[in-house]
Amino acid sequence: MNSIWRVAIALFLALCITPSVSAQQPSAEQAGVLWFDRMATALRELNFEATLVQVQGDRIQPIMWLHGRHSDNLEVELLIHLNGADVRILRLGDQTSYYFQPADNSYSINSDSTYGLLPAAFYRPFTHLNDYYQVIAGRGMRVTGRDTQYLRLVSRDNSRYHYSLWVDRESGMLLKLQMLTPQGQVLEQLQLTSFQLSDELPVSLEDLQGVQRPPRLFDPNTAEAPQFSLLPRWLPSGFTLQRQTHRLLYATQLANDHFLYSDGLTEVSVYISRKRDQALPELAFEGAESFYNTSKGDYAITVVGKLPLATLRKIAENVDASVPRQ
Amino acid sequence: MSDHRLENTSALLDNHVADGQQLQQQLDVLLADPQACQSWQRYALIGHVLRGDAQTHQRLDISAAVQLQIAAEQPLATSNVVRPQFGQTVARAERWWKPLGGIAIAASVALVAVLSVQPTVSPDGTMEGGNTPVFVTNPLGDRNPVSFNTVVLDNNPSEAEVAQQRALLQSYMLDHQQQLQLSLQQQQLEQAKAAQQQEATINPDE
Repeated sequence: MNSIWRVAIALFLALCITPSVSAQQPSAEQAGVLWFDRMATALRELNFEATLVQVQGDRIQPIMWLHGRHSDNLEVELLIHLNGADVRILRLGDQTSYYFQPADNSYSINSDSTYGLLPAAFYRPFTHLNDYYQVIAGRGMRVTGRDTQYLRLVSRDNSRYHYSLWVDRESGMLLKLQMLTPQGQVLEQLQLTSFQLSDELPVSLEDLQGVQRPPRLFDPNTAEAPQFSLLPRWLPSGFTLQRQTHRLLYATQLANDHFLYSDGLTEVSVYISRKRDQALPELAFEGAESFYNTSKGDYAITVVGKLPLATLRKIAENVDASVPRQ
Repeated sequence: MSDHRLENTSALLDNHVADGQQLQQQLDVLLADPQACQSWQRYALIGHVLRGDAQTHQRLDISAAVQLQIAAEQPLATSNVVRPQFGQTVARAERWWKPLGGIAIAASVALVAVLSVQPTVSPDGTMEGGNTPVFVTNPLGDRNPVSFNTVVLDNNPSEAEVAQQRALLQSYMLDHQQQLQLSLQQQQLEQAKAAQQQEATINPDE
């Protein structure tokens, strides 16, 4: 009788333990998603005053970063570049303004994430990225004097840049970021140097609602469809077409077909122009923003984006004649 | 330590103490004083070096130890070796990217660049102010290093061409940044529109 009980208990225990063991397998990933979502919420909800350093190659930019919520739930975010030209980015809700001094060519756009510091995807839950990226929780270290949770954000097909994130264990705030090539070379870093959390909106953000906003940046109304007979035929999985136009390149008179693709985190532009108009040799470089220029027949093909050079090259090589529409 | 004792130590070393009794006495003092012993050692070493009898060319032969260590370690699995995806060797890969990397970064600092760079590009596309580094136009070419080199030699662009290329490169970067922002804005507007429509279907009376 006794032995039967023992067997029964052993079986019961085995049943209890087995699922928890098998559940441990994906737990680093599950924890990663939880922490990523916590970070996304923190970036939206916390009241904080921080300073950080942004490093791209040998360029260093110290930035002041303030964020908070008014009592009526309006979100305020202010970024001030501390070196060089006086650049300020102010976001109230979904209105973002970029102020440049002394050259006063400021503008506003309609966006509820502040473009220029973090990818917009970091302000949203991870489900948007889940198909093409995975985020894995690891052991954190001390960053900005606080205990952190380490997150590794990697693309599932290894064709995109990776991110290392250090998130504050207490508040979920992002304290350090590295963007790396798949080979592990660091291309860009953010490091908070001071971070002060508060319950209330930071004082310096209180009176910003009355600040004059510069004019809105608009798409020209006369959007033309692409004219050349070439189309990008291959992109890494997950990239979808955001916009395609035929227009003149920014600040030059170069006529282009332009295609913009995004996978939710990373964007890539493909430009196609007439080779005789475009005086760029075949060239390429890999960096925080990679660049690849090549030619096919009478056309020059240029690919720009936050992607490894090998990926840009593959995109460019697969630009091909478009199938005639029916 | 006093100068006097240093003097005595020095004199002893050079055997300049004439009196036998004094010598014995000073030696006893020296041996009793650890600091004086250390000075003795230093003086002796200085003397050796000056006379050239010190062994200054001693070599540390660690090669044997390193070899042993390497032999003891597991051979590297090929899967562990990080290889550049592009180009054949790390050295060449770096040579391709490095000179242009600086420009890439300069141009990709999006917000500063998008509009504050604008005034430096005059309408005809040439860049004003020559303090930005000249960028080297390394062509991509095949994986064949010979053809790679020939292209460089044959295609030496003039300064004006380089400036024009730089401006064009810059404008690609800026255009990309601007399109990203416009795309963000478009998404935002579409979201708002979708939300409005949803609201309208929920409250059709309003």
